[in-house]
Amino acid sequence: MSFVEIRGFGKAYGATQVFADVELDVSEGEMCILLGPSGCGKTTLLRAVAGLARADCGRLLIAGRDVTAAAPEARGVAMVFQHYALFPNMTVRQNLAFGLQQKRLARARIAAKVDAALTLMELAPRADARPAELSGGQKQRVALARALVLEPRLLLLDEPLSALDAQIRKRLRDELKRLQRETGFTAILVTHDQEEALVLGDQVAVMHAGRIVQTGPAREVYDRPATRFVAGFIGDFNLLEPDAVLRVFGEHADRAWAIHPEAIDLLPPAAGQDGLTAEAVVIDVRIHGPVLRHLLLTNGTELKVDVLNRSSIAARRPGDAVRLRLDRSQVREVA
Amino acid sequence: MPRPGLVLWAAPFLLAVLGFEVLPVLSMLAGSFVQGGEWSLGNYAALLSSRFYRGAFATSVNISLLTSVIGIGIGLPLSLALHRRSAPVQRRFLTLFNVASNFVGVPLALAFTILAGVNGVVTLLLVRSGLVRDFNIYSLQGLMLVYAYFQVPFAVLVLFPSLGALTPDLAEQARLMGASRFTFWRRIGLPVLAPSLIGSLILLFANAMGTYATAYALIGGGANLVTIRIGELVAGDVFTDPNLANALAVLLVLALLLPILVDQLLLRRNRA
Repeated sequence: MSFVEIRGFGKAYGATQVFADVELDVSEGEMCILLGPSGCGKTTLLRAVAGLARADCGRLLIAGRDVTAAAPEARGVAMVFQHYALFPNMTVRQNLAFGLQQKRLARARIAAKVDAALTLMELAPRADARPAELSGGQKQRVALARALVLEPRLLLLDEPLSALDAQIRKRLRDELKRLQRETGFTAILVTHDQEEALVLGDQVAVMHAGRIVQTGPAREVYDRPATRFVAGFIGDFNLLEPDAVLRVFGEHADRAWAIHPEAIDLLPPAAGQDGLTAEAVVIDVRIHGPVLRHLLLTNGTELKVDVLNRSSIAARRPGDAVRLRLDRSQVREVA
Repeated sequence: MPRPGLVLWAAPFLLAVLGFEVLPVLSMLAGSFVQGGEWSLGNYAALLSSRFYRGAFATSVNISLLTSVIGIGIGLPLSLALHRRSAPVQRRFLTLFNVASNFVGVPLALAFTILAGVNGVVTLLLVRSGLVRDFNIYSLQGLMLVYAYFQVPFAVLVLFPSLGALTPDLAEQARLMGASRFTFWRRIGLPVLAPSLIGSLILLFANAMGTYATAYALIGGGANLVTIRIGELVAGDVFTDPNLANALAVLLVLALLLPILVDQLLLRRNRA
């Protein structure tokens, strides 16, 4: 039995199905990522877990207790909202203390817990600042500290990093992962950023049009996408329909092929022809930092190929002829 | 130092401000210190020693303060309710409130006379049904009812934009943390709205203090309000004393400036 169990969750607004048939298991101490494009129902699903939205059907168990009908405050969950929802009239310290005060803890205990959380999140120097005086990253950390200080059974995070700029976002992402490893909290995090999902997730559940289409460890979801949607959304795969497979590689395929851009090797045009190979012309080369993204044209099909950006490799230019080679084991057939 | 050319471009604006904002105030201020053609503090002495004029201020302040509190008291729940509705509904109601808050003066007085005057439709209905003994709209209570008609929608108009600070996630966050609705409003909702509530109260107060035509049309010179006294001293039937009116007006401005200054000081201390 899992720590968090979602069984047959569904919700509709009138004729619009927001999510349906949602089954999800989260183990204790695990960070589960709900990944999907905007409008796929992931935030509403998270709100239904929090009790802020009502699911029309299904059951929700947290730590073995059925909380399907429980009020939000009785579920033992804490939430970090996308825009943090810090109380603007209170200082950082007061924000952190608020939830503990509602639990009617003794003053000294509240102070001790708040101090510990401030130290953990390196917020002690800003303890008496108001939210308006904080930077985006600091606000984020306050929101996280305010949720963690309550020691919730389950932490819910709604796109917690999406309002930050790229640099701080990456730093906080790593910090969040470290924090989760150290304190071992159980969390469900909603995001539309596949990189964030892969870095943070012990488990990734990919949502599409209100349904969870694939659940699994991050590596597995990335490596073995179950559908072409997952392939397109999470891995930036090359997707070749059976007729394109025939044209490019001369192979008959029953289903579409999904191929990671980094799974394809680029060779000189005269290289040997063993394995799956094809002739191609470089259309464009772009520097994506650690990798070079090549756009190739081969028999009327465009392919993306990533090559590690090492100074030792020969630079290829648009118009260059190349031979691409692919190991058969790298091909993923998707429905 | 801005370039001289820029000053030239701003000249029409500066002239308009000078001619229509600054000069009238200066002329009012200067006139208030003139009595019988000579510089004097006599106007102020006369006003402050007169029970009649002190009474006018007391009545104006009373009625303005009360109707402002009523305006906020009804306007705040109304704005909050409206804030939860869809944008088209909000637009429709804000338009309505805009019209209502500007529906003042003789038309408003007439409308209330027809509805709630001594022989008004509503008055007669209420009296015949035995719910009230009688109701005299030509009284201060009546005047307050009429003021409330434009104060409440005015309160909604000035409060509504500030409700954006109270995003729904704040209430949800507080709820998840186990706070009751009452606790949310006491610890978060009202403190967050406090600056705009005080600001709105001041605007409503000024709105009521400055009301002239509505009161005059309803009760005439019998209502002892500052604005009506000023009007009488400028264009009265019996006697006129424009400089005494100037002094009254200066005192009225001070009465409006005082709460604004206090508010600014409070705000500044809060921010520091």
